[in-house]
Amino acid sequence: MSSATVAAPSRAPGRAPNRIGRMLRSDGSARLASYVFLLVLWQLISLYEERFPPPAEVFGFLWTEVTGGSHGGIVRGEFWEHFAATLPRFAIGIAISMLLGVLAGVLIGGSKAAEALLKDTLLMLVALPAIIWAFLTQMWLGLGDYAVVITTFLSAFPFVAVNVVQGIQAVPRDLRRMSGAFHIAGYRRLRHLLLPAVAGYLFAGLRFAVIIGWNAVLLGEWFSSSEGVGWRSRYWYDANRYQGFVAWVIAFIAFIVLLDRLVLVRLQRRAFRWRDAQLSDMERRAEEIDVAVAGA
Amino acid sequence: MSGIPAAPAVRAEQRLSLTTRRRVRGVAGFVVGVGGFLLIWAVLSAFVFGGFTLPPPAEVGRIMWDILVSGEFFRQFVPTILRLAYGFGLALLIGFPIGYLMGTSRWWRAFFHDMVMVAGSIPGITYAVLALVVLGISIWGPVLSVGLVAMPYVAINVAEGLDSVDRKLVQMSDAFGRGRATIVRNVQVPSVAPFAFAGVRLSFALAWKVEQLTEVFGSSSGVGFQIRHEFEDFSIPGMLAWVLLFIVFMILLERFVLTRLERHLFRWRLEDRP
Amino acid sequence: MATLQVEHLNKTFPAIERGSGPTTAIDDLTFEIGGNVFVSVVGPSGCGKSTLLNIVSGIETATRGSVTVSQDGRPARLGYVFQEPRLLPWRTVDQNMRYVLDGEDARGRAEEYLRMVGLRDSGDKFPGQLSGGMQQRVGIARAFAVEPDLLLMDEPFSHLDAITARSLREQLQEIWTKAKKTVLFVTHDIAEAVQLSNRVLILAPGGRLYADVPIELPYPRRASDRAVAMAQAELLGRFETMQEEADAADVADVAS
Repeated sequence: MSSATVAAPSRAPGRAPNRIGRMLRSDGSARLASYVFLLVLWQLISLYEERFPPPAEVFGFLWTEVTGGSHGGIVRGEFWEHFAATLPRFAIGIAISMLLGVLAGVLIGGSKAAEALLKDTLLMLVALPAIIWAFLTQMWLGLGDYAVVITTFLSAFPFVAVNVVQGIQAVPRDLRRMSGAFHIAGYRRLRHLLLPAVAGYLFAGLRFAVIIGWNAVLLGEWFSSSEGVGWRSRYWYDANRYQGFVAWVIAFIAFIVLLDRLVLVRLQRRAFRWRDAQLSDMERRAEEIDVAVAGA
Repeated sequence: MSGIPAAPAVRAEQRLSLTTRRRVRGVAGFVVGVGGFLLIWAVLSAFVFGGFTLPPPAEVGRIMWDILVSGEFFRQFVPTILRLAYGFGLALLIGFPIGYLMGTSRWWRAFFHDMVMVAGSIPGITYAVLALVVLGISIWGPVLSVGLVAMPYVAINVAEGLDSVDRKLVQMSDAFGRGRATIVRNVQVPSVAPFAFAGVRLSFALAWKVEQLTEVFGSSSGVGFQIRHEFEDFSIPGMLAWVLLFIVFMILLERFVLTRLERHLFRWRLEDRP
Repeated sequence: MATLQVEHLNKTFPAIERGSGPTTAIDDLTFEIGGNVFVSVVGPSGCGKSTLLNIVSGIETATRGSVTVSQDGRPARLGYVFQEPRLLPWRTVDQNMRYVLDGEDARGRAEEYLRMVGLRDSGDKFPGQLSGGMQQRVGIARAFAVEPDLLLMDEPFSHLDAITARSLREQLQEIWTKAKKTVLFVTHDIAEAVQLSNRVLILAPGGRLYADVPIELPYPRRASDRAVAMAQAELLGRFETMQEEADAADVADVAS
């Protein structure tokens, strides 16, 4: 009797928890849970470590900074003007590194002698941390736009070059020979042969340049500027207003993550379409062979 | 020696000559490459920038030599390398369980997906300064930032490694009546290990850069601290000497220690069928 | 040596697609084997041969009926040889052997059975350094080394080239006549079944037992032996008759 009364109600609402259960088990709820988890973790760390500001304080600060409200006293929020100062430096640094990176990549990838002579130099430059360029440019050029732009360019440039070299070396040799045999030359050769093959690597290089350049521009501004995102972060850090510093960290991470995920990853995937299609084709063929062997 | 059959001996000899030839070519390439680097540097120093802006290789080389023979190198590298090692220990410690969850459950994969994806594009300066804010000037700052940088790579690779576990081998172990723990030790762990190691390798270059940056910002010893020290002394040659020593050391560590270790641990993968 | 009793065994798999009925893999199968015998199960692909082995080894469960492996009171020990070698690639051959062996004399037994398949000197090699045929020999040595009461073999030579497979068949006979085991051997190759076994069970499509044929020829049997060839031809004939009957039944099904 008692078992029946227990069993009946547990089955009746069984459907509703089932739907809720499915909702809880969905990917969306998992992602939501991860953000909640991060916020809770952050809150806990701030309780434990008083130097680390809690989320509410940081977002409040960010809001004041964005809307230009008062931080107390005469200090007012500044936000857009610092992005406005940083973005041109960033863009120019990336543009130069792309330009020179492609030139260097074509030179090294296209000539055996240049490769032997220059490749290790390139790898050395890849290994150099951005902070060295930030320090060197400050010592060379003092405070100002030049130091920041050149830090960005020097940090990002080797990564572009390395990717272009890889792209050029990945153009299948047979394909090159074929185009020679059919006298496909000049513009058409560039348009249909070299560009599609290199484009994917070029975008990969661009993505590297942007991510590494962003770190470099922030470092450059931290040490050699009096405005900009990196400088403003340091400003609050030096003022011991850690909530301000963390608010800027949130802002510059959000900027690069959005740029990377929404623009660069898509561009790169688009440019690499042909290669991925080819790969999956090969995999499919390998599977067919496996099936054939198993069936034999 | 008489016990060794002739045919494999001949093959071994051929292989030897092949590797020697490859080695000779490798050494030649190395000489040309390093020569090219020094040449470019010397030319830039002498004719483009001038010896003050870009000190010539000989001057930097002399300082590097001084650092090496004075024992300063040893004193500063030991803490740096130890922190790097602790940091990777931390990354493995946290990355393994996360990778395990991601590899075995769809929900947990979705849970960690965004964090792991975003981690790769976070600027290194974030880790450096946050470690400073949270921990102050401490030896644990670099450890924390190395751990945070490397951890997503370890997690992703462990998850992928778990995907790669051959269910047929698990079935075989079941058929021969092996216990759960034995199967984990003999099938799952060896399948995942190369992936976890690849995660460490992948994140190595990134991790030591961030570690150095963290030392620049908040440390009272280590290579990064020395670089900052030289910067504050306005000594370009000193800075270049430290950073070059560090890069050379890291490249050697990666080429010789990590690669050798990987080759030894996973030698079963590299052996070719006869 | 154990006795394997299969009684009214039935295995159906649920429909994979909507609309199609459940698939019957094994249909009312009854047989018993025991003692020092080598029994082959042959049949066209999809007749439930591998399913039978999976049920015997406990990987799958029966829908109806029972499978008992008895060994005077204690649970019977099983050995398994798979289609692929299924060796742990990260363990040496010797470690692979000892992985499945318990007890003090594991090292000795590993060595003994490796010697039996002619791989005494390969103990320190990794599976990846061996050819496919050598790997499968390790798989066979491993299955014999656990000294099983019942040895299950699931088309162990089907992934090998013909020449390797032929020499392994001869080696297998040699090991089996020495080691005296009850073997249940699944194959789709009738010639192989006749050469190796002293009893052949033919399964029809749908998993019914079609015929139970003793092969009374002395061991070792070579593929080139006249008597073996004749027995093979005869059984192949019966197999073809069975398939014709099955095809005719299909045609009748479609017609009605």
